Amino acid sequence: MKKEQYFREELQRLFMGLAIVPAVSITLICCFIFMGLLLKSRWEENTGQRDYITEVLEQTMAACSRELERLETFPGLFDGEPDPAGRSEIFEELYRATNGLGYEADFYILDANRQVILSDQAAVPSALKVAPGVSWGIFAAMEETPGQTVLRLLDGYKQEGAMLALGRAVSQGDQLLGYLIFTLDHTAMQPLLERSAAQAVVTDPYGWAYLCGNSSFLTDSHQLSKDIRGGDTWLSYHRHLYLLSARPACGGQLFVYVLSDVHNIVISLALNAALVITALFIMTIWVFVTTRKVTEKKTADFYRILEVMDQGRQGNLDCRVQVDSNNEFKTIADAYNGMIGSLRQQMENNSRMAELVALSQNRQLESQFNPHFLYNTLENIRYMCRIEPETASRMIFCLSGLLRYSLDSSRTEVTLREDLDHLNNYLTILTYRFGTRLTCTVDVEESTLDCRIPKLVLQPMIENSVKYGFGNGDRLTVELKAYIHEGHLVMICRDDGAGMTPAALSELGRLLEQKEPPGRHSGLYNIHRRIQLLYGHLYGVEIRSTEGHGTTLIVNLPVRREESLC
Amino acid sequence: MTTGRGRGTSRFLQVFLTAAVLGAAAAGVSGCGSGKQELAVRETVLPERELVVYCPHPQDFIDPIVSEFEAQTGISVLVCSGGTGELLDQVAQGQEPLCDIFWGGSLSITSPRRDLFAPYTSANEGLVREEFQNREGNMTRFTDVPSVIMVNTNLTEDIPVKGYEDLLNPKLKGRIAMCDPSASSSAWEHLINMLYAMGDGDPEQGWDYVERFCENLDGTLLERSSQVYEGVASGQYAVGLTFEEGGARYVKTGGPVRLVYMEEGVLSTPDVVCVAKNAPHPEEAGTFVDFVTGWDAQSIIAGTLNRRSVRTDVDEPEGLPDKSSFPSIESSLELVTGRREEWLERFAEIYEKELSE
Repeated sequence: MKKEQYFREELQRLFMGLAIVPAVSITLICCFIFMGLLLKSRWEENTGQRDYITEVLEQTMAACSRELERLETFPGLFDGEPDPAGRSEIFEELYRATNGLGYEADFYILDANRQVILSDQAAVPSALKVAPGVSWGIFAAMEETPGQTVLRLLDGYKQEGAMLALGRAVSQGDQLLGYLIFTLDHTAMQPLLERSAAQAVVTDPYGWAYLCGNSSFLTDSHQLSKDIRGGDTWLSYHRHLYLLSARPACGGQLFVYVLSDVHNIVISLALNAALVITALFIMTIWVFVTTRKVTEKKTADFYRILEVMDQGRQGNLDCRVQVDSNNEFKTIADAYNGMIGSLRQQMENNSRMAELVALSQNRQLESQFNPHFLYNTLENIRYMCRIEPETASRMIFCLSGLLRYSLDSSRTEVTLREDLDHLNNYLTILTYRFGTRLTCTVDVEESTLDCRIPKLVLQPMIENSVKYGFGNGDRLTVELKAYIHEGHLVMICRDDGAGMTPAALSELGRLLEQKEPPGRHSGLYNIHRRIQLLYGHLYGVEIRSTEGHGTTLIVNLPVRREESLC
Repeated sequence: MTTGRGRGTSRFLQVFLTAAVLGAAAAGVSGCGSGKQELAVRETVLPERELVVYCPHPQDFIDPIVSEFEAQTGISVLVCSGGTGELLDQVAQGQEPLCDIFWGGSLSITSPRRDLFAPYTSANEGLVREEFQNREGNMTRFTDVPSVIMVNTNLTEDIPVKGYEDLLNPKLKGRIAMCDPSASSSAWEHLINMLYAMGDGDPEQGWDYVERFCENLDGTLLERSSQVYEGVASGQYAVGLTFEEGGARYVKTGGPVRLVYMEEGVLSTPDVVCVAKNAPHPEEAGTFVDFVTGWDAQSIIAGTLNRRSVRTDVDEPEGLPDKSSFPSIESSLELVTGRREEWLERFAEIYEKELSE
């Protein structure tokens, strides 16, 4: 079984290794790259927008600054109320300057008391209404660095009205003449933010917003949230994920923050990845199950062959391999079936041959009649003919019965009862031969009489005792018993004769196991051989003997009753 | 209120997303060819110098001054807003971010808690009017804040309102906006003002009026002083008891409101700007005190933010009456600060009683 699973698992592993794992990894890598590409494009859009805004702001401020410097040199700007001609000339110049900026800028020319001399706006923004002398707002910055253009975010804290102011304090010698100021309202620059989907915020260094694409980034004071000002590239703000890039503009006077909402990208891709993983998971299970089925189906023939081979190894050659599919396995199965078939044929032939041999051997063995016995008996009869013709006649009758019995080749097995009847003929002859020197008792259990035994088993047992039992003694008692013990028919022939030396006993044991009939003890050999041929090696003759204390022959047989008598 | 780095985004997510972008860039599939591009671009930095200001002033008042302070000094200010009492408690508890400056809150409320503040004498102390001198050493006066009654002109056409007495008019029942004096300094000032003005200088005599006034409140007491002026300006209430600047903004912007300086007498209490004890940024805190008490800031406050300066060299605010034009009364700071708990309790009792009736 273990082998079987190993092969199947190997096949499955092959499927998984070649199909699932690469599919999973490739899909995940693709997801990963796809997300990376999306994010990268967002990032490029983000930084592009950031750089664009920065560039425009810087260009605009630089242009303003140039215009301011040029205007400063314009004569008669602060010389009180200019006449209408001069006024229109200045206006023309101012409009030309602001038009060149590309964004709508307002201009204010203020005198040293911060009163408006000239402006394109009727109303002055509150951030420019600072009392003379008060160092506040753009004025504080202009006075701090006279002769230079300064940039300040004004009213950055107001929801509406944040403006960038560029200004110069104009002096002649130590005498302050006035101020030149350009303002860029946040509404003027707002279109800058609409170029891209990325949301931008332009602030001063303290976070007060000038332009803002998304008011949720600002506090109530219109200040950019500190979380964003100090945020990382990947910014989590209000439970949304943003890509944040930032850079200073205009020499650190302004800061441009651009935020791209990547929340949906990340969420949707995470969802996609989850979906893909789920699909792959289900697919994996499906493939796992189907590959199991397929491998089971594909390897079924293989295992059927294996199983039949295994049974064949254990001796069961009756199984045939049944392969339905028409592939290599069928060839193997057919070849195996053919091989097993011819093997079985061969084995059947062999066993039939062996049976024939055993049968003929048995015939030969049972037909052997001891010529010594015949000779001795005939000698005895010759004497008896002279002394007791009556007895001689009876002996001849017994002998002829014995001969007929032994020559009857129609049966190999008889009942114990029949064999006992014929043994009586033999015993009668022996009684005549040995007279009182030989005492023979037969004690057979009634239940054993119906048992089938090989023909002529009892006689050689007695014969053996008589032949070797007398030794140098002149009396011999032989006892024959038969009983059933533990399902075996046991027949015992015990004598009180000379017995055997241990060497003779072991020699006799060796003789009995020979394949060829020995010269001596052929009677015992015959019985033993015949029993083994008929009933197998579990059965046979056993000899026990002690020198001087007689010999015991034990014949062990299966209990087989004569059916017709039952 | 966090400072410094952004919150939330987990380290793992940051690394993962960055890896995704760099991975995609490295995969070379992008045709943009933008070449070498640093992802971690953060060229901006938060200003190094910081200041934490706890401030009960209205946002509109705070923002212009704070933004100008930042621009002129380069110090970034973090403002924590709230009611005076609430903020003082937070300072006492040492709540994060630790307070550097306590800016606002009338003297009568902050004075009993002056052990929270470190001694500081502003550079402008010599130019501060006599009555607003920093006598305690750690209580620099910021502005002078008279109490006023703010009246919605649309809702009070037929109701004359000249002082406290007129607030007992049954027509105003339930239409008077007043804050809980324990929560708001402007309401506390009004309570003192009532007691002194209606008790003819003896606060104990003023409680009769308080009882009748509470009856007319009809169970309405607000949580924050901003609810008073916003409520009156929006027409939710007919009259409100507030401080001068709270109402003056609406007058200036042309809202349907006017300010009534009580004919029975107006109490004017300065508010303060103090350096907190153990301030994390003491140097910046000093700069701030000097800035807000400086001539420029005080001029702007008087000129555009409708408050009265404590300085001798700054004029009365534009559009607001001179202090001499309404009857001023004085209170004893010692008595008022000493009796605060008792008076608050007494007021609460009266209010509760009226509420249960």
